[in-house]
Amino acid sequence: MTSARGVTPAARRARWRFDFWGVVTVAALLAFLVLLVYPLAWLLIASMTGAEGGGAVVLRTYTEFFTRRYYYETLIHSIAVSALVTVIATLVGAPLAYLVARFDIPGKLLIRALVVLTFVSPPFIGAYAWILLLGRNGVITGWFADLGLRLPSIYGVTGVVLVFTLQALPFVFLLVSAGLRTVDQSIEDAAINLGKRPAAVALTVIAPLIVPSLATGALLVFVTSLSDFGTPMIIGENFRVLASQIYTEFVNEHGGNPAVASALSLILLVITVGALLWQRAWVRKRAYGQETVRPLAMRSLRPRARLAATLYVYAVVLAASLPIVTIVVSSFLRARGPLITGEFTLDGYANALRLPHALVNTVVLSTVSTILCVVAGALVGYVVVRQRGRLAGAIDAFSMVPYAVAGVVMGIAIAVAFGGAPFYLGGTAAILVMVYFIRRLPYSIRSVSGMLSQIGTQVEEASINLGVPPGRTFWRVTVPMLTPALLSGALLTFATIAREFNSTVILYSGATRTLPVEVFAQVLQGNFANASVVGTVLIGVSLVPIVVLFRFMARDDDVLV
Amino acid sequence: MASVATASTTAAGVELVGVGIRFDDVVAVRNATLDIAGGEFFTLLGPSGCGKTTLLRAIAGFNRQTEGTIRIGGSVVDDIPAWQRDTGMVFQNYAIFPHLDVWHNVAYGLANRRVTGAAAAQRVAETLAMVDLTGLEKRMPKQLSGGQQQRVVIARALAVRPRVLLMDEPLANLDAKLRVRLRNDLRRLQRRLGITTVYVTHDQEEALSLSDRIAVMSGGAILQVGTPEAVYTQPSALRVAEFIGEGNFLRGRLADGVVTLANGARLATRTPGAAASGEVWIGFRPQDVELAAVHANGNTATAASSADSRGVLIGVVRGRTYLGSQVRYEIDCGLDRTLAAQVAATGAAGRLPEGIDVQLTVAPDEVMLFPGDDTSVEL
Repeated sequence: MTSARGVTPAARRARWRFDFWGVVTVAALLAFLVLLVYPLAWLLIASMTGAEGGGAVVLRTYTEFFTRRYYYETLIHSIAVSALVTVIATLVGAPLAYLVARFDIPGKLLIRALVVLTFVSPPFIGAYAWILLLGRNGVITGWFADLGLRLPSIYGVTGVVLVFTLQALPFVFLLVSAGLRTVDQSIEDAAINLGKRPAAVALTVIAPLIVPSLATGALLVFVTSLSDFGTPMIIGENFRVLASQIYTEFVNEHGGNPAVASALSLILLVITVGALLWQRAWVRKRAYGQETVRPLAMRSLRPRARLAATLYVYAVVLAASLPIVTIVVSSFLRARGPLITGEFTLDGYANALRLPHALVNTVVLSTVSTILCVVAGALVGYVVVRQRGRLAGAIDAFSMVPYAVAGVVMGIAIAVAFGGAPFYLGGTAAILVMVYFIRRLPYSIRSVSGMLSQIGTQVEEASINLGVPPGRTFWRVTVPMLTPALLSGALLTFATIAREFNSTVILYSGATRTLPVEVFAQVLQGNFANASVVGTVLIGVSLVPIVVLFRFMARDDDVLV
Repeated sequence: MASVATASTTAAGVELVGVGIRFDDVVAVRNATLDIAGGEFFTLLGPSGCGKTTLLRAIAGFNRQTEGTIRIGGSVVDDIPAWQRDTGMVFQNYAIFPHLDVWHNVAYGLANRRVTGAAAAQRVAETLAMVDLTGLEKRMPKQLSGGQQQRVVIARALAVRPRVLLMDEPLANLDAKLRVRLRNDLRRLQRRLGITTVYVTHDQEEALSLSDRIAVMSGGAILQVGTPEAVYTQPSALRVAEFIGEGNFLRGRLADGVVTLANGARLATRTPGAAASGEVWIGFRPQDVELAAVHANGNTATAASSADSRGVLIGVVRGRTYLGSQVRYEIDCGLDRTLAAQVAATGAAGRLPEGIDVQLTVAPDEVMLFPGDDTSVEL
């Protein structure tokens, strides 16, 4: 293209970036700049400027953090608890997934349903459910007291680790199950043929091959445990972690301290992003990109081994889903003060005054955010896969970041950037939609780009070859092909946003109160019966799309991870 | 090189007696009886779904047969689990351990046989030398080509010095040229080691060129067992003939060693079964047909009369395909299907144009008879 004369109209059009896809690319970059880079930059600025007097304090909050035990203790607690939970959940969850995937354990459908149920439950719900069971006035505590036995206290670090671990099991279970589906049966056969017993094969050959899935599960567990502050606040009592400290600093009744909250947020951000980058680098060397012709077959166990495996699987799965059962059951029981009686009643539902408002808020906000996420995800996912260029690469890189930003951190960043002047969006529905959108957009992009890479370009090329221009080909061919992925992505996004708590609680106001926030408020006020009622409705709201997904769209639980 | 050939005299045979394999209601293999001699290269040949892989996996111990007995080296192995059967298996999709380098892939099975340390290192080095992979010990599988990966898994199976080598379509995933080269390497290696080998393939050329003996399978049953020459030239059933090599298969009436076809043409036969009479299927190979033009002034009546003694068919060339050294013709002889003839491209018969009248001559020794079959089966 040395002379302008030689440039064909088509070539000229290709260089002209401001076609439809050029606009999408620029819009996507702007969205990431406005909703991700700008707030995180504000977080950094806020962490270095004092609230009082507006003077520059620069690194004072950081110095204070690392020198005052009151602060750095929370960091140590956070890392220790998250690491411990990651190890336990992996050691318990990986064998669980292997047993269910490989052996004739009865009732697999029930097992999977319980795992999914645990997966979709809001983060801190386990904490107060375990208090209902094992707390000072707990049901099980009561049984043991009648026998004259005193159980060890559930409050404090024990309870935090227990709740985190049980909440983490679905991540490990689902990812290991998905990983096992990529191992070919012939690999196991080859190892057995060379003289290894099946049990030894699982450790020497199968385990190394699912290391990438295992590591992804471990990362999710680690980051989720670091980010959850509802659980330590409810069951931790005096046990403070970094995330709960951030929340306390930010919503302090005496005006709060955005500088400290921002500084703590950035420290948490550095840890989670660091964990993500380290995990990615570590996994890259251990991913083998296998071709699976015949997935691992199911085997029969001898009766005694089968019994042991079944007991293990059910013990773990029932323990993990017990909180949800507890909440649903207790929502139908009469409360007398903080005590829940054995008496059936629907009064809880009839008297839940703020429930309808919170329910409407949750459904409306989730629906709006879901639609935005799915539409933007489809367009941006297409750009990333099909219009590979330097800008698309930047979008791909940006869309990795929200994965590692804890909800509370994102919430505070958005609050600092848009809550006050010049936007004054604090407490509005718009600011909640913004945070939901940026938190879930990467998942929508990934589901679309994954699907697009899978179906290849030939169908679209066939359409263009038949004379339909690229823009119309996208609507007439690509979108219909993507519809199943878009629909299942939408259902999943809705379920996730409906139970979003960590960022909501930073940004909500009385008018935009959602179900998770309402549950949390009721728990903190000690109204466990009211909390159960709202919690049951919330479980229902996030479960409906998942049931639709599995029942009517015949999706596997693979889509959850 | 010759020093490696140690085990040939003591090689274990494999014996299958009435082996049947059923999965729920599906019969995958029925009544398979085979006696594979020590050191033999034995191939299970058949179309996909014929049960050949199922049978091989039963020998390896991955499927438990529902009936019958399997013996390796004279002793019954039915209740010996797969990890103690001492067979070396090579899988179609390699089943290479992607997380282990070449050295550790090959050494994987040695620890369980108490071959460790220096002995293991020596065994791995020896085996890698056999398959020409010396120097690639530290490579990871994804750094290897398909052919190299295949040789790694062959080395891995041989390193444990199994009593029997089992191969499940090991060359199917390779491109055509590499397949032929590895085929020759494999044959040479097997001869040198003298290891009993059971080989599964659907590729008849592979089976014919590699094997000492072939068992042709179809629909879970073994149809014929014999040397490559025997199954090619004297197929025992129509389905065997249809699967091995190409052929023209026709319905006819046999009497006094002569088959009368539907168009009235008569072909003499001297193959086994010629003494019988009645409705039969016959077959002959396209390569066994002699082809000549019938000149416009030549009269068909004389040609037809000469058919009595020489086995001649008259027809019109409908298609001509140039194959390089050979030319293939499709010829319409007024039968329910066109006949194929394949001749050298260099002779006069290689230059016949479409539309010309031709006569096909088939020697009585080449006309195969299948008296037992009454329907043609698509394979």
